[in-house]
Amino acid sequence: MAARMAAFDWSASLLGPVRTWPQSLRTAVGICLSSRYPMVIWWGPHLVLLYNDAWVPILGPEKHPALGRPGIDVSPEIWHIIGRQLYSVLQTGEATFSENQLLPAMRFGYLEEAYFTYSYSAIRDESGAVGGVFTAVSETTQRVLSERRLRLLRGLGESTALAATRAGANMASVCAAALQTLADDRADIPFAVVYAWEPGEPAGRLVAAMGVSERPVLEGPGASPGSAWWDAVRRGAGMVLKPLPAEWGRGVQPGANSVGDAPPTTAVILPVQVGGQDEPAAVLVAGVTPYRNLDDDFRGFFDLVAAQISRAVSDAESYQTQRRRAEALAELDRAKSEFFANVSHEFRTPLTLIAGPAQDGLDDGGEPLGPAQRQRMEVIRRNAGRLGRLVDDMLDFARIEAGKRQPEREPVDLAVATHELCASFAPAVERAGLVLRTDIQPLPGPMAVDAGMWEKVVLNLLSNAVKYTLAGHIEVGLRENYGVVTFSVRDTGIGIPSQELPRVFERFHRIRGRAARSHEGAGIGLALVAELVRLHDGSVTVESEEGVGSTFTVRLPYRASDFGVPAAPRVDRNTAYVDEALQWSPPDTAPAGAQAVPAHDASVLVVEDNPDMRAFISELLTPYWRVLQAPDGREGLALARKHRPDLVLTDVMMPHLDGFGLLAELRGDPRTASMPVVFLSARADVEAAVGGLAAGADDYLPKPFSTVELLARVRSNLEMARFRNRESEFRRALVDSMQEGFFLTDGDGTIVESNHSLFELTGFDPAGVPYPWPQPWVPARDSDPQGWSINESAFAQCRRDGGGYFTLPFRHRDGHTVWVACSAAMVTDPHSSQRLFVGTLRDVTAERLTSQRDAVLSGFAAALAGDRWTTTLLTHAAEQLRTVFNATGVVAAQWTGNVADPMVISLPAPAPDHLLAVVETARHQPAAAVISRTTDRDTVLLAAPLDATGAAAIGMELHVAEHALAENQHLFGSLTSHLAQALVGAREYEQTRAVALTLQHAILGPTQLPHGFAVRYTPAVEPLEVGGDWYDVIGLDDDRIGVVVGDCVGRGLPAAAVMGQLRSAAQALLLRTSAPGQALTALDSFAQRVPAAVCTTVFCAVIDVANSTVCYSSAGHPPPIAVAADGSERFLDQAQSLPLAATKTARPRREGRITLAPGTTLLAYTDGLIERRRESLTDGVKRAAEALKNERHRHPDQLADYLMKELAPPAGYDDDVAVLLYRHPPPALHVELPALTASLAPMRAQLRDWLTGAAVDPETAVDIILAVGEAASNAVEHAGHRASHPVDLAMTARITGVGLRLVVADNGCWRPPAAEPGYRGHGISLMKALVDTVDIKATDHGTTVDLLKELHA
Amino acid sequence: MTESQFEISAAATDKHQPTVTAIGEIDLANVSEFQDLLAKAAASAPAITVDLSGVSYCDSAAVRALFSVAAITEMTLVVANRGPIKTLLGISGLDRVVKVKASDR
Repeated sequence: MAARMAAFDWSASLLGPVRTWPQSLRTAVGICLSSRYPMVIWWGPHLVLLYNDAWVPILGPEKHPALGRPGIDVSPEIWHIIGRQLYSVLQTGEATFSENQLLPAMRFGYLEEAYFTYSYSAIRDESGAVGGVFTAVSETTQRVLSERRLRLLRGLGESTALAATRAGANMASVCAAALQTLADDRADIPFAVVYAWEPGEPAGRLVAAMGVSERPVLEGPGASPGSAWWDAVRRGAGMVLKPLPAEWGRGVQPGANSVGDAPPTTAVILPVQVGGQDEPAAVLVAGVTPYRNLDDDFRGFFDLVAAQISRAVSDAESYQTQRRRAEALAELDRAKSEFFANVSHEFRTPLTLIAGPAQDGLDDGGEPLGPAQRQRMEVIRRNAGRLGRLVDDMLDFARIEAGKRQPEREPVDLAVATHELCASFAPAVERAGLVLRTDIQPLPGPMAVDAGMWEKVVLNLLSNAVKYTLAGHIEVGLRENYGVVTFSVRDTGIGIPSQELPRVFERFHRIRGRAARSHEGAGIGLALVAELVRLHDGSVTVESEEGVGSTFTVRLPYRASDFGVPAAPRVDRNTAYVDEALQWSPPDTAPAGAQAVPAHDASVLVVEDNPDMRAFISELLTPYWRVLQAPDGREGLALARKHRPDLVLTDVMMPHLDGFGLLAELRGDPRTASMPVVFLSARADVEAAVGGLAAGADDYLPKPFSTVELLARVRSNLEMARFRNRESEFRRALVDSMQEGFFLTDGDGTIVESNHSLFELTGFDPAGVPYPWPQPWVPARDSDPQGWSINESAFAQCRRDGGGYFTLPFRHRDGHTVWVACSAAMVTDPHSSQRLFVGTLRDVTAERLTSQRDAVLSGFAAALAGDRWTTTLLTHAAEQLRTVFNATGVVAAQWTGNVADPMVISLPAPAPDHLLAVVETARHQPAAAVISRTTDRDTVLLAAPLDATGAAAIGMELHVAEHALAENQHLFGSLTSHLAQALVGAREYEQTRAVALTLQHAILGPTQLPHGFAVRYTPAVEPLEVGGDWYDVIGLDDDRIGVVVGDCVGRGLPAAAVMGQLRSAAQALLLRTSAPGQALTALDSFAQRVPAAVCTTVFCAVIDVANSTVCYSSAGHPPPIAVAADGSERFLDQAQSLPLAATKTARPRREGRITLAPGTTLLAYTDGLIERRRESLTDGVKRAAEALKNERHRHPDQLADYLMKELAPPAGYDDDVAVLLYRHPPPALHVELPALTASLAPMRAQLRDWLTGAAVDPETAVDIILAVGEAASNAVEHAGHRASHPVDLAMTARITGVGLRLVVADNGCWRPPAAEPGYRGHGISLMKALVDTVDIKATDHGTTVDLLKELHA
Repeated sequence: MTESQFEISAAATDKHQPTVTAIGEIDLANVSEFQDLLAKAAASAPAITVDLSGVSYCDSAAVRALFSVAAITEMTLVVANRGPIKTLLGISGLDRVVKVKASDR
């Protein structure tokens, strides 16, 4: 694109040729072109388009190229949206941001529903106005569509699941519900119709429809699809109907898609397949929105919709089947119960015949059984006994109910009998870890009761107490009081909920879900107690508090026995109660679940609290499958989670966690949700069967069951599970084939399912599933708090809002950071109603890095934007690089001219040698490069040249991991190439500035001034060094100095240009005329010709140093001030006239003249020095005069500084200021002495004093005194000694326009130096070394030595 | 210009050269006295020291005197760091003939 832009003929475009573009546009274009992120620039009032390669796909192939064209011409279809936004940015300069904005695009020949996220930001030109708009765009169509479709599918899943489980659900009702959901958002599917076929019918029957306003259209002749469709969908997955019959399109209700209401032209026909059937049950005809191309994704979405409907229809049918099956089971059970009741008593005989021989076998001392046989026999005896007891209880009950059973009263010592019963039960209590306390008081005498019944009362209550007391004690009490016998059993058990208390003594009533030692029992024990007590004219009550315990109290009227002694108690008859109670608390056996697991194909977990039953079932299954055993639901759940058995066979009633609880836990955990569960229970009633199936059990097997039936059920359920697993394997394969990472988490954020892409993305092991939150790829809170908090808040938002779209940093296993775009949504598990989260992950590290790099680059460019000097530019760049890369050192170097030592900028300073060497290396390299890399702490040296001539380079040292090196190098390259460009600009600026300064200094007044002068100059406008004011000091001849101070109208560069001309002119004129009045008159004529020179004020003077006079003329200039050494002041205001060229005709200027006393200070200035707001100029002049007078003794240079500081307004000078000071020297010194050696010292002393008074600096004074001393010595030595007459020595010293003039004269005869070899030559050479000119004139009448020392202020 | 302007301190030991010390101004009026003293000192020892650090003015006549003595003896001059003497030594080239030490003063 850069090449295309370069080749483009811009001069013909609205933007004009590139060289005329403003810098801001060029910079923006530079950023745009170098970015891999889609970017556009809209420039100027026509919003002319400039864009990069990445933007071409967004523009669309049909429109490209559109460089240099106005925006409205390129995108007319969306101009009503973006045009307004763009002009708003142009006008207000405020950026806009649009997220997922619908911008219908005309890219592929049809109007397409497309979404974009973009920002418009203003580009300011050099004047600060908005020149154009900068745009970074990303297309979000896929994301928006995916989310919308996912949402629709989720809704579909929920609504059809609900419809399928409703009573009377059928295909029609499910399809109606599904289509109603589809109607919620018709953007993708504007209409949908379901037709069903009866076999042999020629046309389909309309089942459900949505989005079509006229049903007759669908049912009319020819509209209904014929057998051709049917045949098509029967064979395959579906077909595309294109073109759609026009009458269908017309019938579609408007408002389906926000883009418009064009009728759909395509529909998809898909089969609605019911599980297990070959032929489809129906077809779904779904319209395709005309605003999206039917691509693979879209096609897949239709497939998913059809699959969802198919599944719901299948579910509805299978629910109905289950319901019918449960009803049949209930019927069967009723018949079974009746049968059992009828034949129960027939059991007694065979049971007795089983239990009797078994007991005999156990007791047989003559032929004792071996241990294994004994164990089997024990099982037989124990269970025969238990069954016998149950049969007895039931028969008792039946007889009592029928009124056939009456107590057989006999005299019983109730206290003794009760005590014996308690004692017999004590072992069971003990094994249960409980304490049995008895408080049995003797009764007044034997009592007439049915001993067998009493035994049942006591044992039932004790058994009940042991069963429901997990810890603590059982208290048994018996006493007689006022004719009432009270028997109580108090336990510290789990208690009975208050709402259950009234039903405790009801037959077959059992309280579910209670923690107990066993859930065995028929629920008739307490009912039997109540009946038996009632037969003895007594009552039984219960008091209970949940979690504290229960007290059962039996009250009987004391009835003394009339006859005989009580019979001996029979304790052996009912060992069944104790045996059973003992079974609840097995002795120190190994935990049931710890058995070794044989390696078989499939495994079955048997959860059963009855140890005999558990062992029995396990033995049955072991030959075929691996068997795991657990004694209750809690341990069963632990084993199921750990070993993932293929099937769970569980009892319903169990302590700790019953079968229903276990089922709920298994279904609630996604890892075990699909595990088949088969219920086993003795309660063959309808309620339990339906309840089990409703709760999600896969099958239900009532006890008793035959061995064959058990094996058959287990086998069939395993096979069904395997079949189902095939489906899930298929799904697994589908998920794994996804390019994007996929995950499924439970409500706590634990990842329970995921695909390979996710693990490729993170580098972790797929076998590690489940990964609980926070997953190992979530950055640690300590080491990366920012990364952690991004992940944590996304997780929190997901749980709060049920999903969302996030960009998250992950820490790959190898340590580098991976950025992912994560889309997550909440789903509800139809089985368990548990919240789950499903989501996808896409690696966006590269995209993110690109946009980050662009951001860094713009930040870098912005940080350097204000720097115009190479030094500050490089310093700022070094600071930026150090920050951006967290570099340990940055060195920049510039080589100017042939100097070997570069100008070096180093952070931190001083520059280490190795970085200097790196920069030196990079200097002549073509591009940024890695100079060296060490594995020690990943130290890397990067460097880049900053221009093509090797005159500048920059380098840095940083620590960066291997995998991030390329990225860092790339970024470094981008930044340094931008820096190189900026450096070129800065150099140009510096050169321009140097030229400007040279020119400015050229037009400013002289900096080398004659002795006695001091000047100060301050321009009003920075950074200019000149303004409209000027001063000038011109040496006219030895004694005369021209002085000019002027002030042009205005300030800044225009005034300076005028000033330069006037200054030169005034100087030339003064040099020619040496007369201020004439010079100003001529300057008038000159000023007439220079625009903007009019009304310049000028003071012009000629100072005659020798004569101590000043001749001056003023063109409207404020009067200079002269202050004498004694403090008297005068103003040079005698020659005031109009400013330059104030009148058309030049008139001769007047001249004034004053005489200067020695030490007088003259101050000439421009009005900037004295002007103050709200103050007259006169007051300003007076203030200046006062300051001058007070400090008149200072050296002129110090005095100038003082005045500038003292007279400055508080906020500083706001106008140009020129100040010129002149100190008039003392009069000439003239000393005449006899030419004797004794005269030398006094002469030197006088000269020394005079020099001090003339403000000659001490160093110069030393030289002068030496030189004069030599001259005088020579005169005394040579002239004085040889002359025949008395010789006089004369010395004169005076200040002239050029310096100090010294003349030493004698009237003797001075020998010329050439004839005087040796040391004597020293005198003259000494003088020549000390002063600027030495002129010796020797005549017969005497010798004159003329010395000149130039003096400069 | 009194007698006290110039004086000689005799060598106290072998290591101490005789030193001629001058103060004030030296010009034609007193240069011969200065020269005599220098000659006297030079005659007494192979090397002498001339301390001029207290001299505020001297001219080429004094330089001539120093040159003439420096031709017959080894001479070390002690002068102030700044001032006319230092200037004079530089211009005349005397500092290339004798040793010059900066004064402690």
